[in-house]
Amino acid sequence: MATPARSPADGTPGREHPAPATGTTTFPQTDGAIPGPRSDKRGFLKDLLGLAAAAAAAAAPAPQAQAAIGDQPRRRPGIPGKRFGMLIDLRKCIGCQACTVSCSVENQAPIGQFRTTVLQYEIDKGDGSAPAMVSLPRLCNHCDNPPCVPVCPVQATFQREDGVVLVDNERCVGCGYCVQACPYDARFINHETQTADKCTFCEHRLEVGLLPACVESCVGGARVIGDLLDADSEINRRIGARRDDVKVLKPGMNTSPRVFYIGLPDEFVDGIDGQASVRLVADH
Amino acid sequence: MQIIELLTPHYEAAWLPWAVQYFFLIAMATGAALAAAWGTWAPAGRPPAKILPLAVVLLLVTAVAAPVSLLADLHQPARFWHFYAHFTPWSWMSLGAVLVPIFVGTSLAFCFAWWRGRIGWMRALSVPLAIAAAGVVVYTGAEIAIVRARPLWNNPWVPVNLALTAWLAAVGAMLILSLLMPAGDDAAIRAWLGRLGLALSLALLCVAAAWAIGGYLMQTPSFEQAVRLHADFPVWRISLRLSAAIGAIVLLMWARPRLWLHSRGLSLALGVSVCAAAWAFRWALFMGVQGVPKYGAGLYVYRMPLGGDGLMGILGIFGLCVTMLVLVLWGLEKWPQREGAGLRSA
Repeated sequence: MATPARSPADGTPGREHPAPATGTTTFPQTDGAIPGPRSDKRGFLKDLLGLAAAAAAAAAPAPQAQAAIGDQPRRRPGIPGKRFGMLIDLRKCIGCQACTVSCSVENQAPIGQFRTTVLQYEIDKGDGSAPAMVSLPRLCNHCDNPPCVPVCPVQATFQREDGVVLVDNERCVGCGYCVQACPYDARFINHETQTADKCTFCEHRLEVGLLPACVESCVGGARVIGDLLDADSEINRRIGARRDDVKVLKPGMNTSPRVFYIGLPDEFVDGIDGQASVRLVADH
Repeated sequence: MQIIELLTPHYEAAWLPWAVQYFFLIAMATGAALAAAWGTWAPAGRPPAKILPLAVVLLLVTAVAAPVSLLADLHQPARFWHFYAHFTPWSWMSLGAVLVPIFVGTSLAFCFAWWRGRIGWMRALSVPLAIAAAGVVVYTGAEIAIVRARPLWNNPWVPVNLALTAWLAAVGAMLILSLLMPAGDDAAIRAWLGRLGLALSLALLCVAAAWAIGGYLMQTPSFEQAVRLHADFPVWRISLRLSAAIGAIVLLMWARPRLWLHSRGLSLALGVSVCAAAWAFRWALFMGVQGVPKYGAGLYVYRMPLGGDGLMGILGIFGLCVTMLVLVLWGLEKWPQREGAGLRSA
């Protein structure tokens, strides 16, 4: 579960964060229409709070103080020249949980905790037709504007230039702030390491040219990982072929997720308004 | 079309009841600090100066106990030094890691100056103490309010509510202390605390009304989620109505001091009620809101463990407060505060 910090380039955080694949590639802009955080009323609040904090921060020696509160810190080096993303084609997911199992085998998350899993729903249209099933694979979205990264008080969680969001669990203090900040419930406090844990896109496998465990084990070929900067990559070709049907989860959160879904019903985009399952509480 | 969840994982609360204890105590400490700083400059014989011993004792107990529960809320408490080795000025929590020791240090220095009867030191310390207290109020509120993933946290009223409820709790705690310390024998002090409580309660009422009216008119995400929780879940409905009822009773008591001013039992009940309300607000804000799914349907049920991560942690921190209070009161009897110019004995 150790997600090693690769060359901890604790450099000066920049106000800008490196531009993602936008513009030069066939990158889906499903969330592009959402106004930036500085343009709405939350931007005002942020500025207000930032003003107050500036007074507090001014007292402390802060060589990096040019980064405003909440800004993304500079990304750290990753696999050069790439920006990883994942496409999940729900039409091909049969809800077999092979990805859940293979991820648990590969990454050894504690029993009852998951870096990826497949949520399952029944949809009853109420018109007498047979209920439909939706299987929704979930994992870290490796967002382009990850809200979990700037809140980390010790820079244990960080994003690489290839887009992968990681946790240095030897630095993590287990404060849980990133778990709160993630709008997708993608993070958890690992019961064994007592630190924040999450999907790493199996970066240790990507580095040696392998596929993430969940992608490799997907029986329907529903999960595709690839380089969003490469216009000819399979992920870009498949996104391009279904451009109008590509969605991300919670686009209004302004996080620019880099896990895309094909075949996601509109009712599932912003959260479930429905009947809850009986949730079993795992003791640990 | 109805969606029924069949299979979802169990999402746990990442912030444990320790967080409730921390935010309760540190915010109460800021109230005590501001009251103490005020008392330092108030004319001798006036209630704000007379409550100094109460404010100082409350400040000492809460400023020491709060960081203990903060440390315990880390899942890796022994790594607390990482906050200083990897200072992160763009994270509110990291700023807090700097502000809290400054606040606690200034508080302890102020309490010592009071005990030595050095009004000059106290006045010199009162300004940094008030600034540090304001810093803690801002950072604790902002830390919560910037979390966009949780609409009930992500609104500008949350920091204001946290501050007002905590200062109300500080008034309630000083009311309780007035029954335990010689400085509280004067009924005028309790009457003044009552007026302070009334002002804070009315301010809180205004803030709640502003949130609700603003939320209704602008359909803010926090208001929409609150309405949905109220409509769908009895636990939220009951909690809201119960807090409204307690709030109404407390307001009535503040407005009619004759009802409780000369009764030790009712003064104690009022003080405890106000503290309990501020604590319960934090319980709902932290443990309750963590049970509101970010994506899924229904609520995540929080089942409190009985050990250090749950019940024993809560009781342990209250036990620490009581123990410290007993030691401080005993210490003040054995080694009384020195009478300084403009200071009255505890």
